[in-house]
Amino acid sequence: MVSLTFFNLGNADTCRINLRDEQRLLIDYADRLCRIDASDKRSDLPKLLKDDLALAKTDTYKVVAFTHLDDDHTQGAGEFFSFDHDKVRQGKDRKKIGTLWVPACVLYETNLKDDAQIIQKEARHRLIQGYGIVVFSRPERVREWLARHSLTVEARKDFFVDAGKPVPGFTLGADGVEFFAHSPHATRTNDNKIIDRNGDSLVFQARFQEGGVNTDVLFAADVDHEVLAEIVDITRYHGNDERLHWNVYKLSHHCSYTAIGSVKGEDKTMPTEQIKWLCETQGEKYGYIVSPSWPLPIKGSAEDRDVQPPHREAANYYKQDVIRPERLLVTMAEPSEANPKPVVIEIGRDGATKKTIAAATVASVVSPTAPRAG
Amino acid sequence: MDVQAWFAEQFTETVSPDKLNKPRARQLAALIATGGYDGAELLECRRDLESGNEILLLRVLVPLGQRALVNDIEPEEPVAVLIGRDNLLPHAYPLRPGFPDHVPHFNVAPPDRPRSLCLYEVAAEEVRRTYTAIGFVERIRWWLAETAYGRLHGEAQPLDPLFQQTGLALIMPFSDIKPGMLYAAGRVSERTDSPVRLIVIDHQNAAQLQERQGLYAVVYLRTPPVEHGRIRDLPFDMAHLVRTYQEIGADISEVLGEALLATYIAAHVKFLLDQPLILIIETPLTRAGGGVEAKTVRAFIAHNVSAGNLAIKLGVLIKEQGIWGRPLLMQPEIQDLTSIDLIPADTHEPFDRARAQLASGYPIIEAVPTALLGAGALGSQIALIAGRGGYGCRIIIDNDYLFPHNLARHGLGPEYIGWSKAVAVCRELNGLLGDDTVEAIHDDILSPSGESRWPAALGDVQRVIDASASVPVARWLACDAEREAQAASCFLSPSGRDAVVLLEGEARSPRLDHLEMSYYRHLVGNAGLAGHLSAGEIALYVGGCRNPSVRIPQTQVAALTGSVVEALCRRPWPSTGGIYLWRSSEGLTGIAYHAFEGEPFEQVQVGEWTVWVRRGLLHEVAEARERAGRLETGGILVGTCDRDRKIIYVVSHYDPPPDSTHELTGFVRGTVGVYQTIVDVQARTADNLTYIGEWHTHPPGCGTRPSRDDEKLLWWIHEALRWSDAPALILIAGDDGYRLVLRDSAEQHFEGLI
Repeated sequence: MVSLTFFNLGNADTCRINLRDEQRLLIDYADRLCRIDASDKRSDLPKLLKDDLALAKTDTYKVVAFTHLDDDHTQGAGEFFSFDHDKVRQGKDRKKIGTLWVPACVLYETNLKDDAQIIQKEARHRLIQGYGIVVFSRPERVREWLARHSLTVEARKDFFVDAGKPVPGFTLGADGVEFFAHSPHATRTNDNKIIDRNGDSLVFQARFQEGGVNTDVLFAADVDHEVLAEIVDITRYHGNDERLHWNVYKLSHHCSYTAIGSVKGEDKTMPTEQIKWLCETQGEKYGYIVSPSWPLPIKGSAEDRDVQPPHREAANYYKQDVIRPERLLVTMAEPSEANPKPVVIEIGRDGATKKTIAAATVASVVSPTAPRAG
Repeated sequence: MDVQAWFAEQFTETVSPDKLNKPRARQLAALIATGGYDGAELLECRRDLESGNEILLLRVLVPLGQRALVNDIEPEEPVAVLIGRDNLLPHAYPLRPGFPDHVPHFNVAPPDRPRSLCLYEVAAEEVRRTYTAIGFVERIRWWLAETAYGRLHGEAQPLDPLFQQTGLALIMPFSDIKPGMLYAAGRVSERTDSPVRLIVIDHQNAAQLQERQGLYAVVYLRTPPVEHGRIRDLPFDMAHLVRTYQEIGADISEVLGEALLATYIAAHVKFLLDQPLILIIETPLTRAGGGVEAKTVRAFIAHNVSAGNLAIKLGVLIKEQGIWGRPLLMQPEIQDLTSIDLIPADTHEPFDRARAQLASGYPIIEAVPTALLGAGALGSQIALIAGRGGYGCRIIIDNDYLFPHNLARHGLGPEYIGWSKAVAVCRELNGLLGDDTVEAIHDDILSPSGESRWPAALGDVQRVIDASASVPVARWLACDAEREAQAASCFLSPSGRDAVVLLEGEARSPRLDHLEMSYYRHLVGNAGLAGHLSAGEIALYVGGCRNPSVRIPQTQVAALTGSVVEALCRRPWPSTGGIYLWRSSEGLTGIAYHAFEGEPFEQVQVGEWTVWVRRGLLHEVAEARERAGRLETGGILVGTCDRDRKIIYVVSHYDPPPDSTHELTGFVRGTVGVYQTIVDVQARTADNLTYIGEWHTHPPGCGTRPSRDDEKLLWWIHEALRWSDAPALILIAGDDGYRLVLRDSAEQHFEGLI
């Protein structure tokens, strides 16, 4: 069964896509669990991912995408994955990356540390060696960088995908899925002296086809409303409206109001024209919106006054004007705030449907490592 | 009907979830209250003070995608779950005003009561055996989602009839029935619930029929086609009947009058005017947007009015001084028809396929008083084949009647249609055997009426052959029946290609249920038995979706039954018991025979649960402990739970996965292959065996007392199994034996030592 699993990690993103041939894709990686805090309800991400790979009898992700290098999208990746550029970061317990997807800015950002730096080194290594990578951007953007490594745009153009194009490596016919790149896009990357991470994030549409029915999932990384507006304008300009259609919308920046408009609002954030179009006309009536975030704050609480997302006002917009309230899925509140579990959305002939938490089979529940017996 | 108001009126007492009395209500409330299940929300619990029945009002979250809906189902639907008597399954009632009531698969109810969802296509006792709260709610969600997309009634599934089943049966004649032809009808036996059989009247038999008691006049009508959908409530008076058909565009009063007039006109059948009337109405059915695909035929018995008096009410005939005549009025006036009561009856289409041959008999070894449970296809053929070999059963019990569709594989002939199967088979056997030693008991094996010798009659026999093809019957026989007689259970696999005999040993050891578990174990371990429990192909539905008849040729049943008779009647029953399985190949080019010995089981009481552990498993675990030396070892356990009886069967254990960790003071069970193992076990045994817990060993010098780690492990298993309502189980092998540690739904901890 084709499915998307959004892990409950607080304000952090990790989504695993299971394809019909049992291959796995991973969009971002953020191991946020505090292992010395027994009350921490966030997923033990490496354990869950390893157990899942064991079920699938593989140790390789077909694709690992890092939408950008913020810590809440990369934390712990340096310890989890096997990196070809560094023998120290290889070994039988580490999980392999088939193809690495990154935005172009990953190649040339400076002052990176820890996991972000490791990912950057891996991306550079793969691009230089010429294998296992897709860089989202026009290749011209990194002409200088390529030249410094004695490479030309022509020599590496097959490893780039520009906005407005399908991402190589997948087709609906063969794989049951295709990906369409929206960002980074030309407006933001041209003349951009200062790298805006969230602005140069990967934004893409995944289109699945099951039972002859298309189901679209929009991944919006951490871009703000301005970037989304540019994406909308460019996409509509080129007549590709249906490439912003969604059955599932993975929200940008953990349900921040900045993904909707510039003003938070008293109780509800009002959208810009483009966001209104994107949310209110391109989504399905019984679609889902996924907020990879902490639970929505209660009005007047300390969390509500916090500038960090999730923002209640943003959630109210989605729940009142976009979809049915129960279809806004907050990862740290499903099925309950007291006991959150990863949100699994299955893709089938009826579109996207949220899987019941307790519907797992006995086999899948007990087949992971059992606790120690003594 | 305002369903919410109806429930509010009936269930007046609000109850908190922890104060619910009904076990299934408590289970359901507990499932939702934990917060770990997100398929429904609990809104309220209420109780009917008079009956004690309880309802849970749920908000069910329907797994709707974005596909266009065919029927108006909302993503959240309020549903009332009614829990009545403990031996009944819960019922689910949609509460939303405007919930579509025209869709198929509602249970029928009287006009003043709400209708519940028809959730299952198998008999209730089969569902009860494996019922869990989460399974029930998931079934509601499935019903709602499939109805939303118009898929609940499968494309290949026959269309639902216009009216519900009644329980009374009318057997149609072999020839094509046509409106306008003249028929009479009479009961096959004096039993008031026995079927009524249609008889074509001609000039030859009219005089004879005139002398017959208990005859009915029959009128047959055909209406225009209607689209299948909501099964309608049965009309119980003539006015209601006329009105019901008017609603679907058919005015039956006029054609009924014409048919009755025809009876008057045909002189040789005029005597039928003084007989009570059976009205048979045929309505062609269409699928939405399609042509005629099926027909629904229902009969209505007007027992309190004669055919002629109905004709008077319809204004087409008069009767003066005992003489029938026609009125002078040009426009007949229709009198009030509400006083004409109707008893609905189900019709059974004629069956015209040829009957197969039976095998010849064998010399008897010993006449052993035997009870035969079930006189269906397999049971009847066992009885008659054995009977032709001189082996008679002392008692035959069944509560079913022989219907035309049974002729495909039953041992009886068409002359017994309408007869009690037990009585008819008994009659045949007594005839074959030349005496009246066989006794028929017409009664329900599991729910006897109290009016027959069942189940006391078990005391008169030394052997019981269970040919009921019912797991509930086999389990009752194994666990609850008071008997000393040795029992054997025989059945065909779902595809009909294989036959199985489970035969108890002396003094009922091994027991039938233990043999059943061993049988499943062999299905897993024996590659030659792959596919044994694969589903059969359904040929037709007789009276609804819970009564499917599977496509199995009589050639197969006959060939396999002969093998079964060989094992049960021709050969002595071994003292150690046994499991025998015959696999036929495609086209019956061969039958492969498999025989396994029965295996003993050890019993231990652990809290409220009786745990049966296969003795061989204990030896195997002991051997694993020895091989492990000073290190601990372990793996998963496979078996099943009988939740009604609170019995756990521990059937198999599995070696530790290769990535397990073995230490002096601990063992961590790995993952490699575990998922696939459980999936394989479930697939090969049709989910009759599944994961039930973990086993491990303590090193030499150590007893079996569970450690703190073991308690954590038990908790982990409990969490994993909580939605299947099965207790968590650990088996620990040590110097003092084998300890079973169990944690149940009440989160209580119990131990038992073997």
